[in-house]
Amino acid sequence: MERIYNKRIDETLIKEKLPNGLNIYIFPKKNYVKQYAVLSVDFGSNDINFIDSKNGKNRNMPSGIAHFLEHQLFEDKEKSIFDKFADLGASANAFTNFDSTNYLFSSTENFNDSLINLLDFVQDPYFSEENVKKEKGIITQEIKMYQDNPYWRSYFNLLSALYLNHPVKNDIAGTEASVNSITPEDLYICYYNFYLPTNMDLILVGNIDAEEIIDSIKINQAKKSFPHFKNPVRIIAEEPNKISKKLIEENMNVARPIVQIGFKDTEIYKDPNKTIQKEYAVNILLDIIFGKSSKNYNELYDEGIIDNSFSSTYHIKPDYAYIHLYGESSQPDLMREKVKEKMIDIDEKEIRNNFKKIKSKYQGSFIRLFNNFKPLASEFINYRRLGIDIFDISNIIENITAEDILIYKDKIFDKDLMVESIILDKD
Amino acid sequence: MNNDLEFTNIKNRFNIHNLAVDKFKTNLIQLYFMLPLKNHKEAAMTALLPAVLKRGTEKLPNNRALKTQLEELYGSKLNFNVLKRGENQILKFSLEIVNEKFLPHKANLTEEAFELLNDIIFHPLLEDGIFKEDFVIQEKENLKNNIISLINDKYSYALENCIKKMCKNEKYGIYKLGDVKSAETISSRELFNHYQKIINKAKRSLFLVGNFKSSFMDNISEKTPLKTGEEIYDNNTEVVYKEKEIDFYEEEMPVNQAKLTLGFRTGITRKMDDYYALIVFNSLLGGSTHSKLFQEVREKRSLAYYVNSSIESTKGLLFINSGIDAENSEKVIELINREIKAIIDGQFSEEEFLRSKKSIVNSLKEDFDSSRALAAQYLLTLINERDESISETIEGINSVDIIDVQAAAKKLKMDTVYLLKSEE
Repeated sequence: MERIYNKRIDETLIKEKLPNGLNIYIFPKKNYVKQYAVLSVDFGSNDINFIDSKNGKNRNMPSGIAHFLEHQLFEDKEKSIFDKFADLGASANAFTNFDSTNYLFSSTENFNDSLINLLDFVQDPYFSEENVKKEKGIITQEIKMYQDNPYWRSYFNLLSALYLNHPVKNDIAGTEASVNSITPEDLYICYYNFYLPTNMDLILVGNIDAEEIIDSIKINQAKKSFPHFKNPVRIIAEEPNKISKKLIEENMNVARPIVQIGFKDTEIYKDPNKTIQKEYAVNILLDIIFGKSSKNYNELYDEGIIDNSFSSTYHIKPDYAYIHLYGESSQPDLMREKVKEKMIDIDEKEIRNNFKKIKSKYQGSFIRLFNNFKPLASEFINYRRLGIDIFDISNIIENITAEDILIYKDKIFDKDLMVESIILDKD
Repeated sequence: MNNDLEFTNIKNRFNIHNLAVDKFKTNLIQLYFMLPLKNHKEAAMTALLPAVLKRGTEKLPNNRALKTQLEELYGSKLNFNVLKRGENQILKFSLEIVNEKFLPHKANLTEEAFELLNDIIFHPLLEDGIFKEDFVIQEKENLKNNIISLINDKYSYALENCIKKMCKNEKYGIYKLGDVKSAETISSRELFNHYQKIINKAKRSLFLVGNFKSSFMDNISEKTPLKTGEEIYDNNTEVVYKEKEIDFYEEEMPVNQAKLTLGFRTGITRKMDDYYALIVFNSLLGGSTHSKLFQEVREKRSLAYYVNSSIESTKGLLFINSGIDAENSEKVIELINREIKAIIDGQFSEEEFLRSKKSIVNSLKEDFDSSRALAAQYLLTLINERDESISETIEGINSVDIIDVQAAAKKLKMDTVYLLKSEE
């Protein structure tokens, strides 16, 4: 058991790796009532193409399978998994994103028993024809719900304009057709490839006695046997340095047009430190150019071209990166034009004058993160999967200089790699 | 356990409610102005007000200067919300500041941020003695867009429309942001008069949650121009509860998924003795994954991805929301009626009953760990004039018997059915 204490923010992180490879991370929180646990599997919607560890076969799974598997694990032979938690007074849930599937619960009593429940249901798959069929109806309704969400829809339109091959362009839940093609056998193949203790992290936050809990997990895990597979090899199709489509327009019932603009960034790194450093540097740059305190934002706001729905974010992972601008506007064409104009001529002085206060803002959000268990655990997983310790984030932010930001100002907004996704009002 | 976290009142020129707690990384300051819901125009004016105030103060005359200062204060979060609780409209200013003890330099972060909040509310930028005309014109436009943007979120759109139809003859039928038509008619002068009325006469409360320095807490009331005022507060939410025919409404729109929202009258508010039984009933019916509706509509029949019920505890309402295929709407309504009847008849197990209670108790206890949730719970006790701590609510929930739940279920009256579905 390793214990790391960060004096500045008065937080402790306890790490333990079990013999079967399961990683446990605990943030003990004194004076809190609640406990939160998330078992995160390194298997997300992007992982549809991989080499089967059992037989070396190349597997190409239907999109949405990670999410489907998440739903199916809640099926049990006798009793509803949800009820097992509810009987203990705990509340269970799960979510799937591009990179991971996460099973979680929060409790204020019976934490130990609930945690054993969590481990047991995720580590005991039961997929039947009948249950798979039933789940298709529920997930179809989930997909339809998202299809009626104009923000979600235009976001995935944006991603499919940016990417030709990378699976990040696929909706996390898949399509009605892909979901309907899923079989119990597909689920078992994904399960034995990805649901290995070595491919999972368990994060616990809250009023927790770390030693007692670790002992109890050890006993539980020692009773189970897992196949001795290596972690699966994912195949990510080669992504060319160009975009798929310049523009995707769609009509929906919206109050006013929604504009999303993306810039594909092809300069990505294997080195996690470089990745995180760039994530913060480019986000600070975006705040200086388009953030709520920027000259541009306020100018366009005063002209009535944008409103406070406008936002800008940079996303970077080891295998893809893009800039994402978002806004609702009754003058979508003017907004697109103006935003493009502002990206061409970025004033070095603005960057030098403003980067310090934006850094303060990020330092503030880093500290605030430790108030809320769920976002803390999610961010922790993001950084940990990259290979970054969450306590290092504060230093990474602190060390960013104006020069680090300036190097991106002229190359990150590449017009040839720009795409737009627009939702127009149907009427 | 920390179950004794409670607000204490500092009686002064106005009500200060302080919750001293040192486990959070941030300090939370909230200022509430409470107004009776009267008409669409007043509701729109109240909603417009914070948008205009945040455009600039005497000292910081534009949005850019304001936002810059907030960033310099380590990204202090300043939010404005308009809430509806019963037939009250509540204007909420919320400021969350990183506690100084985690920062190397900023010694007076809370003090500075509080001063900024006061400047925004009490020293706005004026022109000829009223709000700047172009700020008002532009924020009116943004407010109108905000109101119509409800359509982008079909879940809330269906729920709000159900409320609007169901409470068409009651103040509760007024949308919390007012309506587009009356928003258009607001003049800068009218808004300024409304503002003066609010800051001078509306009931107000200042909430402080966190670990504030004593130098800040000492003579806190000297640090703000906030005064006493309760003159325009009337807390008479009309609780409608009578026999009537069920109203059915359908609206067509090109959607992939139909939204079915059912509105009920419970006849039970937070002030009443059977309020706890209602909470347990709601949990059993559609509170979470353990509920009757989740099990019957989703898990057994795959008719929906979501189906839930929720209560409004000041007005005495209950809503059931679901996303389904329109052709199944009758089947789903029938199932809902069947499950309500099952609860009235006591057709639920001891386990289901206990799960329903535990689920509420767990979520109430979780509120102890969030400064915002602590404040939100406390606000409801103020509005309902029922001085009750979270621990007391938990005791109340635990004391509910099966027959109490049956009785609360029996009181439920279906009022309005609203279905949003695609064009045929």
